[in-house]
Amino acid sequence: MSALRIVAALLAAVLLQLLGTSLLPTFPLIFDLPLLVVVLLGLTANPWLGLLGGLAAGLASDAVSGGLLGLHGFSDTLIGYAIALLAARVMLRQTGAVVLVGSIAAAVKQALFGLFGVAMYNPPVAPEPLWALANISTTALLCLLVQVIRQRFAGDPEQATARRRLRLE
Amino acid sequence: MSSRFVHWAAALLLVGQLAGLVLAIPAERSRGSHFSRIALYVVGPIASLVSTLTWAGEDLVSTLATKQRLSDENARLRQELNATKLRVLELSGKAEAADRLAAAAAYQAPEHAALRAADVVYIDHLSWLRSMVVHTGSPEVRVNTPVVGPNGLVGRVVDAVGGYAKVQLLTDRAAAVGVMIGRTRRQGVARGLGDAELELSYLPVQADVRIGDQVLTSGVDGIYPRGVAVGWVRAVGTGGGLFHAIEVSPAEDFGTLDVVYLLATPALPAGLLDEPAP
Repeated sequence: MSALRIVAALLAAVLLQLLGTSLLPTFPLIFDLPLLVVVLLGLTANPWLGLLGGLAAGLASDAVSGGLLGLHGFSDTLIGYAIALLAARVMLRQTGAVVLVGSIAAAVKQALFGLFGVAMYNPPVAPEPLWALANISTTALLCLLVQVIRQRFAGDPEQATARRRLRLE
Repeated sequence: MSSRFVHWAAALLLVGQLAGLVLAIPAERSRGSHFSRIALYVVGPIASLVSTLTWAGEDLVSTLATKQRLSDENARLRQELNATKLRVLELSGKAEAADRLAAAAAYQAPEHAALRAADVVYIDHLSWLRSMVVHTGSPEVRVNTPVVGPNGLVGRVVDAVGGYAKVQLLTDRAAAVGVMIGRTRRQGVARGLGDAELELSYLPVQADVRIGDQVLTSGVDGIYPRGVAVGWVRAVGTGGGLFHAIEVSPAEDFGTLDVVYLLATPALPAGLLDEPAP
């Protein structure tokens, strides 16, 4: 995946997140488009891509969100790196696996938000369960959508993954 | 790059960010880490651009909706205007046709009567005669001159001396005036009842009369000109005979009169109403 495409994907995600937030105040509670990009970058099985992609997406989300600075950065960096490590060891090409990884990533991010909110704020602040559930569901659906589109238009992903591994080695 | 290096880099970044998070909490006015400031420097203008585009989009949608609404309203008003113009043309045509018919029938409308103002100097509310005295000045007025007020017929001059005239009010028990129902042109005679109301007689029971119908002078009694408002039908009853028993409320409020107007209508030629000799 070229650097230009990665940057374009990140920018598009951040712009759409901004647009959605300006139109609907509860948009960021339901959708986390930068996280979707982080998940997809992590699934490339490239640890640097997962790490730096997560860092960039997280910092961009921190910059435009009104919450604690660094929270998105830390969460997305950790999630991107962890997915990349996992994808390097486990076959995560199938649609079900991608959706599951996306759901777990969103759940982990919501859990981290809750953990930091409880540990660092007085009184404690945690995401509402319903909004967290909505966020996890939409991330899973978006992962499914992207996977379907990729399988339809982007060719055989197994060959693409094999080519990437050859480059890394 | 070796995998060990990427692990060290990941650990460094994560620890650094965690430290930044921990430090951000006590320092409420903290500006965040250098990384977030750099990201803000880059993303801030983009966020501003997106907001501007969003506002511009909303303005555009609102403008388009307003334009469509105004366009629809304009079309509707044009239709109403065209319909009104057609109606005016139609009525103009009818008026012209009526004038032509009148000319063909050699009909000459009566001349409009001249008005002469007169101050009310005395009103008799108590006696059963129901009359008033007005100051007419010179020249002296003619007996049987119709008297009208701002709202309708008041009565007729029954006596004139010097610059004063005595006016018999419509509501006088001896007063009578030829009238017609404005809506149907059905004629009858209105008589005073001696109080504030009038009685409309000689309307057959089959005549169409409704409460609220306007009563006008018919102009057939030789005294009052046609078309002067007399009053409004207040009640309609059968009367038990061949004619309606109709009560009429006068159009004019006699209790508020301070100025009345004498209608200088031409008098009928002398002897025209006399019975011919056998």
